[in-house]
Amino acid sequence: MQLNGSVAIVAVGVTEQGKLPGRDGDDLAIEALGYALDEAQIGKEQIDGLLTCKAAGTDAGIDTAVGRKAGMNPAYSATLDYGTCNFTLHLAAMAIMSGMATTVACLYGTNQKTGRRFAFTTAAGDGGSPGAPYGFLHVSGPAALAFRRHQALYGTTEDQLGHVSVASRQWAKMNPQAIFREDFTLEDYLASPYLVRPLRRPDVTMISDGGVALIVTSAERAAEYPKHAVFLLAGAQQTGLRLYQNDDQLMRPWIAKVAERIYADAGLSRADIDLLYIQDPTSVWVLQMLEWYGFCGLGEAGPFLETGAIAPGGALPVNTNGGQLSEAYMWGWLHIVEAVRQLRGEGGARQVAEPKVALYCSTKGFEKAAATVLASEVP
Amino acid sequence: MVARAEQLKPVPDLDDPVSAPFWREAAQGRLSFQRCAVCGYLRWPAGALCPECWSPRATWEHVSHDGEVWSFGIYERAFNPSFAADIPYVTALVQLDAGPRLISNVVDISPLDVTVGMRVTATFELFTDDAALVKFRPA
Repeated sequence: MQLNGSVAIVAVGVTEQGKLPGRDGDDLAIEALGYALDEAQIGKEQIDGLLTCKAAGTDAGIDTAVGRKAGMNPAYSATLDYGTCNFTLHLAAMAIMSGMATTVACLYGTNQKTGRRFAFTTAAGDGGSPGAPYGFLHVSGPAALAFRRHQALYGTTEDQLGHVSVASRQWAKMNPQAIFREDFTLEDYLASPYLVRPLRRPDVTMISDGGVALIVTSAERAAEYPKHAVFLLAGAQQTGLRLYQNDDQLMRPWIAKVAERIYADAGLSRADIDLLYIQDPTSVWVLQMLEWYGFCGLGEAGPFLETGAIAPGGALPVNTNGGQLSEAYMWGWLHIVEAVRQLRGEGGARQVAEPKVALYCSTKGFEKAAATVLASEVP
Repeated sequence: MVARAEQLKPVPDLDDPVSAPFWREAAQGRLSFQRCAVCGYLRWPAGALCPECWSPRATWEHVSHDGEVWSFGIYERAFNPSFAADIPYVTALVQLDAGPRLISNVVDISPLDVTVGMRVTATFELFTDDAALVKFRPA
């Protein structure tokens, strides 16, 4: 989807992240929207598109319920059944370009940590090949298989994978919003217990409560907002819905198709990417997507990570917020928020020098992949 | 009631008429899949329609029990308490010679001795009197 900067994010809103007992997901999403409206200096009446995102394992995130609770009658509303924000952002762009709405609020909120607790227990394998009877539970199951396969094919080591969670923490230490900010070294990583060998606890996201909102509008309207707009250059998606009917499904080779489309539609190459965001329920997602998006060769993510490339000061800033491994688990939504902040120059201690272009890559489990290119200026 | 349910391992739904034959066949020591009567595609997971040609017509066919470990992981933590006594256990994606890929366990071997590419063959473990899980052991 070529956007050429015709659509922009003009405001973001984020609640406190962590343990927020007694709050429900919709309540948190609406609170976040309040912050975004403050930043945009508009009222809720000016939102004519409402896109909500269901929070796995909870009842939150249905547009009809959120609209009622927030007292809003937007012209257009819809719910997406899965997160990562890319899918929602693309729908917002399509709604704006088609004329269905002019000013779209995208919302996500969850109380997965302190409410009805979500533990990925059904996420592994069901729908592809029944896994639960074999104890194939939790996202670390399929992620462990994917990493073990990578090790067998390419000789990747656990130390090399450890650089993902260590780099995430180094970024998170500079992010006041991050939940995990304690020192964390490669030695600490290697001393951590296995969950599903070869993966350890630090390879897997935390679960946390919180809410996030974005306000998206056309480039023409974006000029009227007080904050510097962040423009969407392109969006792309690809599914692998056949799951285990596909060859090498856990390696998700079809992500390469998203890469091909996103660079073509944005008119850019990977060398133009100043900031890279990779949705990271596990560190293995980072390893895979570095390769599929061409930041290193296929099978070369291990040695690439070992160079420290993705850590602060490295050649390729990745997940400068700390990602889901260290910042918070907002199903990828905070990666977009961080891209917006960095492109505006609001990154504080972790600000990367004058970034122009960010790429955000995400997947919905082993079923779908998506990417968006964001830029500080219209090309 | 809830507490008791949590002690029990999740088991396949034998009330599902589409997939139940897989587990019933396994109890007879057979690894069987639906073979599409129209295009010949071997269907997994079990389904009411062929994902290739959308025909509902299929017959259950006994296939080779052999395959190889595409990859595996060793669970060292029980995400469901019913598996606590099994820790550490191996889950694997097994690429069958017959075509389908199954998530399963590799048993009868020390977990640290399992390797990617290792040849395995099916072994069957009853979970009711007449339904079994399909697991794998070294060939």
